[in-house]
Amino acid sequence: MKAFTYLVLAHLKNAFRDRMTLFWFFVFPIVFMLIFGIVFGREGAPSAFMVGTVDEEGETTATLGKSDLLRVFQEGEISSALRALRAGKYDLVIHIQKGKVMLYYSAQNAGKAQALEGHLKSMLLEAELRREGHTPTTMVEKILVEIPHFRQMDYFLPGILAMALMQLGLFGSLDFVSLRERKIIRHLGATPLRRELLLWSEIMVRMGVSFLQTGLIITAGWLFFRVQVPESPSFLFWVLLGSATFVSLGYCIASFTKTIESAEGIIQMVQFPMMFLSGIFFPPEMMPESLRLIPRLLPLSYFGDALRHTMIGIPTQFGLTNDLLILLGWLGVSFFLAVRFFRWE
Amino acid sequence: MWAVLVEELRKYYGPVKAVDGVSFEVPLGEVFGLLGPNGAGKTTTVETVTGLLRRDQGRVLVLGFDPLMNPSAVKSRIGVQLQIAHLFPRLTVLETIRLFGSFYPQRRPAEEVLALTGLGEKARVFVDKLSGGQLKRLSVGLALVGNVEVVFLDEPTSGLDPQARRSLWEVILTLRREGKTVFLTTHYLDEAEKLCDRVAIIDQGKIIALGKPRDLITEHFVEKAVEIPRSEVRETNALTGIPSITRVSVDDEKVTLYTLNLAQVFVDLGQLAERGYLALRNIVVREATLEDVFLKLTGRRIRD
Repeated sequence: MKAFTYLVLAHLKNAFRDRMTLFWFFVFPIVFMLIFGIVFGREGAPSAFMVGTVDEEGETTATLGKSDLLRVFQEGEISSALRALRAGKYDLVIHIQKGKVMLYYSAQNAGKAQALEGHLKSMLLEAELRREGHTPTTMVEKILVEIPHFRQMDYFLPGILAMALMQLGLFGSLDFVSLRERKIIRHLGATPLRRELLLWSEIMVRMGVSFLQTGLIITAGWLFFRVQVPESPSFLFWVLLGSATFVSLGYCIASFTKTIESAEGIIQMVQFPMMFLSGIFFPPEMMPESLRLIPRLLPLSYFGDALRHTMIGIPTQFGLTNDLLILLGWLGVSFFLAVRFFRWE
Repeated sequence: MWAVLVEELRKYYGPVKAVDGVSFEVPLGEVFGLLGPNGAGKTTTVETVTGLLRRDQGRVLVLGFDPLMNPSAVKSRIGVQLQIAHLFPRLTVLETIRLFGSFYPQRRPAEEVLALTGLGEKARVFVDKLSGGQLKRLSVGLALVGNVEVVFLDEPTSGLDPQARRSLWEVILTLRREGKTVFLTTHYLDEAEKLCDRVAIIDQGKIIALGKPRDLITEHFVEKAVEIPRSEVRETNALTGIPSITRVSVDDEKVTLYTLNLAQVFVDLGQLAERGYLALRNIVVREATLEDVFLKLTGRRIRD
């Protein structure tokens, strides 16, 4: 027990005294989050349509201005309004003449043009009805229903956490490969130390660092992007399960490789596609149809899915039971293989 | 009881007979040296004796226990100098000593290990910042942290500068004063002669001589050695066939003559010098050493 405590402390000191280790464990996920958040995080309420109007009648524009969907700018001449449209100042330009309304738009804003066309038609119709002395009998009433709204960042943060824990687990085994390659582990066999203790202390420290990373990423997410802090601690179970799976997978790879270079290569080959094909950064619907099957094979997909649901409340894609079964499956198989083919020397 | 007992030990790597039927005993409290050139089987012997390597044949007992059958009984009572000091490169020297101390049931205080190995000033330096010699001293220190009964040191002084070598000799002499058994391998003959109670000379996996250094020398040489620089001997053949010279050995640097009758040799050499076969400007007379024993037994110098 005394040796185990000393080993845990030694692992911790050794890791925390290395700037590179600190960077990869703690700085990189945060930097990654910031970059991703800044690039893809611009979002918010759907922006208003920028509309330029040239009104030869004078009434319609005032009515248009009441719509909260539109921001209306009056232009005197159609030519100057169109110049502004071409310059990107307006999404649309409406030219109102007697008995005729022209709607100018660019191909990029075809959708907005369509929406506005409907809006304009109903407005003009309503105005006409009123002029004729009719009042519309059927009113349309808008009722706001609260459903959770998830921003890109909400989706993304559990993904970063999943990625960071995967990398910690996989790359963590390299220390062991390096000690083995330099025959340090073999030579330790001449001391009374039970070598299992070295391994278990390493695993324990890695799991501890996993939880530290989790806290750090959640804190950074809240600080920089106001991503909700998980309300229930149940996600910690998933952090534990996911970390264990990837630590086990890391040692499994270590068991099948001889040198640190080959282990590093294989880990890169495993983690790189996983990072991009597991749907942890964007919903799998954004992926081409032909690639949709791949996420269903990778443990990171299920880990990310469970974290998104338990941390943020995003509806699960596979169902928590499937997430659990498949992660347990990966853990079990990789643990078995790691133990079965384990090599101290 | 022997500290180490080895009988007919064999370890083959395919056709290579790394250790080929080695037998010796080391009594408790002795400093025992295994002496031989690189590749003679010294490291293989140490690793099979300490249980790091499985032997193919033979019997090994360390403190009465077979290291393969009873590893824990052996390991907690022996210290082995190995390349494990950089297990955690960013641990300090002191932390590393304490860590390894935690593996053993009994410990020597870390400060004492620091003092013994002369690493006191480096106590707070990270292991990966140590020089080669300092790492070597730390690895010797790690063999001592357990306050063990038998200490195995494999080439503890190779690659060290003369001063560091001497300070390691002091460590070994201290261990001897403490009554510890030291099993040491080396290819420095002067070191073996100075430190070891007994030495075994090993060559090509076999022990070719075993005994106290002094005894080995007198057993093989009652002669004195006379050295003449190679460049001053024009005709080495002229030295053979002189009755006062018992053996002649020639290498690139010098010609060594062994003799029982020093006075007669000088007369004979004087005559040869007059006839121009050699010059007598830099002649050295010395006692025979283990180096001469090794040369006589194998026909080679130990560092060839």
